Amino acid sequence: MIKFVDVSKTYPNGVQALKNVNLEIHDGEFVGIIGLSGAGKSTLLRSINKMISITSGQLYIDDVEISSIKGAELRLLRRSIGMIFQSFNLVKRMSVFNNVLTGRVAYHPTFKTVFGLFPKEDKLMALESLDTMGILEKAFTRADQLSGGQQQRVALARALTQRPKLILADEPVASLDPITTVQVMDDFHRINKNFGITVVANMHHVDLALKYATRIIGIKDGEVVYDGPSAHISDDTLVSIYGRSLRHDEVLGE
Amino acid sequence: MNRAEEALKRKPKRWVMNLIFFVAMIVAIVFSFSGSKINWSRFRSIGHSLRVMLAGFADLQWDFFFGTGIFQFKEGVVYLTLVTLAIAFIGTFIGAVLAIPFGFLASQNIVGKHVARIGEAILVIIRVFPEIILALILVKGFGMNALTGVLTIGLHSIGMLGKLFAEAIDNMDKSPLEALDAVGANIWQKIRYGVIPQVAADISSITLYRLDINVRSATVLGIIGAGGLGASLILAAESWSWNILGTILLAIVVMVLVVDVISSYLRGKLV
Repeated sequence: MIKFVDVSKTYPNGVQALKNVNLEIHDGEFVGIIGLSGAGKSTLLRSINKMISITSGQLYIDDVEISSIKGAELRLLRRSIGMIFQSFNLVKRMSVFNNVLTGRVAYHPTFKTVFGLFPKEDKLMALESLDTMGILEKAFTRADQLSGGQQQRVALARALTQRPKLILADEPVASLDPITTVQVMDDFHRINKNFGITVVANMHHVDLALKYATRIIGIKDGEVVYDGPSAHISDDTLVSIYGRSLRHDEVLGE
Repeated sequence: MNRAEEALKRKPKRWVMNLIFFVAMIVAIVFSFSGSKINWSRFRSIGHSLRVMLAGFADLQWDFFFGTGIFQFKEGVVYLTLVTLAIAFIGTFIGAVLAIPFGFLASQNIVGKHVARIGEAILVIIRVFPEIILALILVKGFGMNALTGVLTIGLHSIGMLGKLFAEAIDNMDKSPLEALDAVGANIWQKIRYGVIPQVAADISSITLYRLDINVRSATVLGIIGAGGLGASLILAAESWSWNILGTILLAIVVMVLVVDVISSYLRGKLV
């Protein structure tokens, strides 16, 4: 469970990205965060694995307050949280298999990982994750040989190999074409349903958020202006998030 | 008066500066020549000298080349060439290994802006120190042998290699480091899985290029006694043994060409 208590974030340049955010996200949820660019979606998401540190309030993950942890303790927290990025963030000159295997580095002592000594179970875990994502046959090709959609699946396999209880996705489909977008979103849905992994995703395609997420959090100027089931979202709600009503084509986001 | 004529009037007049620059050049050239005592009579015999030299070069000493005959040197050219190559190879290897930590130390990506400046400053000092002077100092400590050549090349290579390694590290894609942070990797794991896979090909390519340069350096360093071909080269020139000098030059040309072709081929295979 993730719990935000009066969380605020002010950047050094004075921008207040989050204002007194109070939230509870339960295990197994699929949460879509929507809002305009610069509304604070990314800050909210990245504060959960402390890629960004909050400036006030408390943030609990499974009842552990994380705003004060650092070093080894922080790395232990992060290994239990998968993260997906807009630009995939793979090492392009490394094989798909090795990219996925990096999901295991935080489970082993430094010297073993530096010499590439992973136990056989870890290697099998990496290959099973690739199989789950349907790209097992690409395991030993270089990551830069793959299409965008395939690279995002490799990133998902890397996250799965961490054996996470939670996956954070920061604009996971923003650089993919519409068809690949649907395939990758289906993958997220499958991971959420089959493995019970909580998914929290930032999305700027409103229709995708409404279709895949079970719960929507709408953010405007750093404040949560909507938090509820995606089925109940109305045009008025979208007005409060985006400042004006969205035309049909804008909701589709294509 | 139309706009074009007005614009022409505003054209900056540079002729004064140009004239000053031109006069200064003439003065510098005249001054430089006045200091050197040129022996003009030498110009009359230069044709003859060149003919003698070229005739000597054509008279290649194959016994000396393969080291099968006895001249004033104990070893043949092939052996000495291999010594020169070995000096360049080991020197480059040592230089590259030592340059890696310096490269990291001078990379803003790894150590941040301020420490990187210190790292860069160290590399600049190494680079500006002339190789031949480094060799002259080392030869006093280690003697007239191959070790001096290896150390000179190794130490001097750090300057350029460290700088280029740092550039390779700074130019790489930083996004995988973010992903490694998110999986809970520590700094060593980030270097091993985020940095090295990205820069390994660049570092190998830069090192091969430096090997090219070092093969030439190793020949020249031999002249001041740092092992290999150079010592024989200077002895042959001092004693006017053009046939021996020509034989050595042939070996140098072949060696440089071969190393150049091999390193270009290998660098093409990388990336």
